Amino acid sequence: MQYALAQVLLVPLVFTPVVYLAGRKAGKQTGWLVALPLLYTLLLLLSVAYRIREGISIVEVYSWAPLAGLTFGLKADGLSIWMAITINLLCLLVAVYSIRYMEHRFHEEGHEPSPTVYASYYALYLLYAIGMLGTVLATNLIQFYLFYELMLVPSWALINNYGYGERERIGMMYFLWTHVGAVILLAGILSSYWITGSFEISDLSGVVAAPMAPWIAFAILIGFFVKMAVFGLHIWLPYAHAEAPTPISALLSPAMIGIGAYAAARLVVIPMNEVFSRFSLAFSLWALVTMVYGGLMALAQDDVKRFLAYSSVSQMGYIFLGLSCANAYGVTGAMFHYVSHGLGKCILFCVAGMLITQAETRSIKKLGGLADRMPLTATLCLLGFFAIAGVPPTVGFMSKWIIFSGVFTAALEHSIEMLVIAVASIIMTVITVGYALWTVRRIFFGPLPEHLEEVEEAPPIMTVPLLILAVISVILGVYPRLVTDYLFPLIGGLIP
Amino acid sequence: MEPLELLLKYPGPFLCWILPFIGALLTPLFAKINEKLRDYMAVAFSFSAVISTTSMIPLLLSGGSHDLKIAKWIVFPSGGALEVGVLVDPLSIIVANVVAFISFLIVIYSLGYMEGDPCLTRYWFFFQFFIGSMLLLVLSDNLIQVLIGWEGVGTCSYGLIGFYYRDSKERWLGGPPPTPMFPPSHCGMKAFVVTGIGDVFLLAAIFIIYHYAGTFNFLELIHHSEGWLQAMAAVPGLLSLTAILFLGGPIGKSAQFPLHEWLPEAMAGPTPVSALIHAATMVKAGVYLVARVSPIFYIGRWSLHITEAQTFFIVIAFIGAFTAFLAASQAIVSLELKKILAYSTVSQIGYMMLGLGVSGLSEGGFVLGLTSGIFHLVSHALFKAALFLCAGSVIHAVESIYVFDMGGLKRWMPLTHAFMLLATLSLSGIPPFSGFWSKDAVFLSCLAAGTPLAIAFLALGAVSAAMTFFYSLRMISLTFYGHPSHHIEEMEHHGHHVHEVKPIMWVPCAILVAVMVVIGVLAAVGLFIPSLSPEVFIEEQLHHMIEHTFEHMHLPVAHVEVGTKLTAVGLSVAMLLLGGLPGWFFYLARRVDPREVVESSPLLRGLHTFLWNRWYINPLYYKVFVDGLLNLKEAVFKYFEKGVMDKISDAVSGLTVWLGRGIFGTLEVEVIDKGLNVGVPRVAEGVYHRVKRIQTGVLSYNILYIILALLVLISFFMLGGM
Repeated sequence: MQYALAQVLLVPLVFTPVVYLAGRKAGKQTGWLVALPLLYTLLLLLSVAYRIREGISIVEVYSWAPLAGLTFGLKADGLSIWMAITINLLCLLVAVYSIRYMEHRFHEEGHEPSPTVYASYYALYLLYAIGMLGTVLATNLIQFYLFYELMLVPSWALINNYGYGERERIGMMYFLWTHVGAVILLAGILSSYWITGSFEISDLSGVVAAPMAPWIAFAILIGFFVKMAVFGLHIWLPYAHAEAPTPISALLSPAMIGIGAYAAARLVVIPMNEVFSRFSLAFSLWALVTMVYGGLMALAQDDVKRFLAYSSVSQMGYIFLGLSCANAYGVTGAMFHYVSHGLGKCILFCVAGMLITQAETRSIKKLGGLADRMPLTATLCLLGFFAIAGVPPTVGFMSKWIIFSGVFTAALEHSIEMLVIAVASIIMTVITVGYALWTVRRIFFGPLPEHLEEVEEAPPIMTVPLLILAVISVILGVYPRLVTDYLFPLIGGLIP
Repeated sequence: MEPLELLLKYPGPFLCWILPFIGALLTPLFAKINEKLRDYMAVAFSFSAVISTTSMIPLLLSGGSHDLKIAKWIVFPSGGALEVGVLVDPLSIIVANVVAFISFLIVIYSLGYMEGDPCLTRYWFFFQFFIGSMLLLVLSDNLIQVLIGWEGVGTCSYGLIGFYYRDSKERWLGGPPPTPMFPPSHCGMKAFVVTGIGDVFLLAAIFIIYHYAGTFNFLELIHHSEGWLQAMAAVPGLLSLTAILFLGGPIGKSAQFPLHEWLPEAMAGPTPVSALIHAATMVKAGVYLVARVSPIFYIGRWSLHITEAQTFFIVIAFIGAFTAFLAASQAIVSLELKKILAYSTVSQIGYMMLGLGVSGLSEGGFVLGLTSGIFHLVSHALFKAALFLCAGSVIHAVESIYVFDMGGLKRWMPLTHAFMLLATLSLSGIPPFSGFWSKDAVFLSCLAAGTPLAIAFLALGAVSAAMTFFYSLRMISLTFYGHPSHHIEEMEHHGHHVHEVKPIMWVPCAILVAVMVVIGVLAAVGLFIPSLSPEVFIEEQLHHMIEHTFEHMHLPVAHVEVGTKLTAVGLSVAMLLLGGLPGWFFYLARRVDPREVVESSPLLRGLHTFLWNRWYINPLYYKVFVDGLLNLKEAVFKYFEKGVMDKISDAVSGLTVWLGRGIFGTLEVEVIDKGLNVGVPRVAEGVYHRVKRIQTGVLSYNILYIILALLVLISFFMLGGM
């Protein structure tokens, strides 16, 4: 099929004004209208995935700005295809989930919602999805940068308009942090152009020989580190992810921040491997700190969404750790963990949303014993935690062991310090299991408090999308080759 | 061979774990149809596991080990692959049969014990998943697959220990007050986290091994051991480190010191679950894994002469012996019936670990040690399953977990008493029950190893044997003999009569005890006719298996003198007397009240407190790890995240605003504003009047314009490009 990748971006784009206009009549049912193009693009991506299963890649190049030598290219290869599929899948299911959730959200605001609020919510939602998909498929840096910013603007608007708490201030904070990161990234991109004379991502490896290479790599990485919220650059994340409307949190945390890791792999770790691996030790230490710090902070939270947000910081630490070893196992594991974390964390944020709609609270202290009232939600929550904590048969087990396999390989090849970090980081995985089970216990187990006796299970429109995610996470856990057969050959061919 | 062909030729080793998994997944479906159907299907699926494992017995008799690889699971960039496969050899066949058989009996018992529980769907789901995971673990031919079963077992234990998640007061464990009590959901979590700590150590070791060996497959690890073990030995300390990390997994899973503290709390689940965890699955996993990899380290030590490989054996032998002692001492003072049994499990697993550990301390004692560990695993599985099922019946009948609420039960529950007595005698190591022979085998392998270390470990083990008999007598006597407790009298008074349990609950116990007695008797007969002895049978099979896997390497077997054998038996008997006499004095004859004796001496009082508080290990762990972590996160959140990180963030934005205002006040207002803002607006105003018609000012239309413009632009560029 020709133009398959172009359609992946164009079809939702065409739908955006349609959604906006139709949404003014359709009200909350607009969600289905958003699901339609996303379902179509998901099927397209799956067909592309089927076509590239033998290790080839599909590139579509369109002329863009011939004067500047810019092309508009879209590339599906072993690395980008699973990112795109994950993003698309999450966007599709969360769109359906939003239907019920946003209705609750608007009622929560205390006034009868006008259809317009649904219309603009879903139009922005679709733009946000295009931004994410465009970022992972982009082939040149300018295009990449534009999509990278495109995913920021709608998500900022969504937080700003539909969020909780001090949403304006937090939206601004989110925007500024990410944008400053993106500007530094742009500086890196422009200086790489200065050396290689090309904006193509595939030409980036030409930078390596230049004396400035570490600085360029670092500038590019900083932008992505802000996005991934690694320790020290993480302060915006818990605010943004906690106060965003929950379906958007369920995209920000699982789908978006991990794109930082993908981009780091695509733009730095793979093409500038020699440069990057010089900093392996420092980065893996940084990753370890992020893992532990995020986990500790998660333990300290009472707000279930803030808790999940810090857990994302910690999980980004794992992905960062995988990248930091700069070898095929580590990077594959990191990218694979993006998928695991995406599936698991999306389930978890949606579960948090169900607690908000059904039990009307986000405070863990006020929850308890809900397994009786919401058995399905409890099961989903447990499965979501299993996926991020790496408990088989969920996919998290597979991705985590591949990460650690890479970490130990790097450690045994390099230095004793790295081995210490490797052992320490693997021990720290217990923290994930600890905060996960402790939280499950506080929300779902124990005696049912009086004020929760009337709570009911969430409607199928919310639970079914999550069930689908849980089933996929188990399928990939049992048959990981669906993912690894794309990642390993590609990454293994590019870096040691 | 094609996967399907392989599956048809050797169905047993695959179906035995696939079927319980399928059963687990179908459980909710059956429950929708009919609740009775769901229960019977659970029985059917666990029985199918028994059939599948028994179908492997012919392979056992034909000897050798078969590594059946069925599919590539993950293909690595190096071209290698992780393959799904099963390793069928005497070790896995024996253990798998024990697992399947005992699990099946426990399933039958559960039908009676759990009858009427509203959450049986969840129960059967986890139960079958548990059996499936354990069998997967036992039959795996590679370390990653083992890990999957390993984690599956852990997950199910979490689900089943915390089965009564509502945490109603009567399900709490521990006490009696003022000793703290714990709710089931806490206990389930504790089990998962504590064993999880061991698991990550194991994981680390696996990756180190993989880095050097380039494979996860057991047979390949053994066959290529020369290369990778020597490469590893070239880095000083690495092999020892790997051995210790590796043992972390089995130590956690099998509840050995220092990760033994989860098992006593694992009693919070329904009693059949305790039986399952202690006898058939979970804690046996660690023993099995140690036995599975010990040939690698044996080759390292005795064929390649790498001294560091010895670490593996020394550490596990020490841990085993010390844990046997530690747990037996705690069982002496415990007041909960199931907790006594739990400590006894920890202690008995210690014996198995000791047997496996001393196997590598001498060149000729390998098979002897391995056999003693596995034989004890088998015999312990039988009597411990019986003990737990009987204990479940007792607790069911008297509605209390404490032994001081029991007493005199013999007259009401004669069958349960008989089975529990026989199983207790086996646990204590009274001849001719199986426990005597298997414990004797462990002692014998210590003696055969003959090194000073082995003898020291033996001494610890022997003292524990005396304590074992003592606490066994105490347990059986407090439960079944003497006068009924106040609690029972009160129950009778209220019309709740204590009575024998239903056949569906005592028949499984009867079967277990019968098999246990048969094995014991056969072992006794085996002294004269070796071909009948189960111990000799296991030994021959294991010997055969190891020679087969070592390929061309000769496996020396030390000849054990009759004198050594007699020494072992003598030691056993002496220890029985040492523990039995005071046991008889205090509990059977009841000459003196042991409480008075303890009260009368400050030393004994101190000792009692020390043992009662579990050597202060459990409180220490809570203080350091749980409280420590909780305090740390509080402090870091308050002082660092809020105190520093947030402040920095605020300061940066504050500074920017301040700078902005400053610049605004000077440059902006004074220079640019005055210069431009007078002229430019004039022009703008003109433009404004012309475009104002489409500027409706409605935000929504504005957004629409932006999107349309974008669309037009992009289509324009793309059409131009085509």
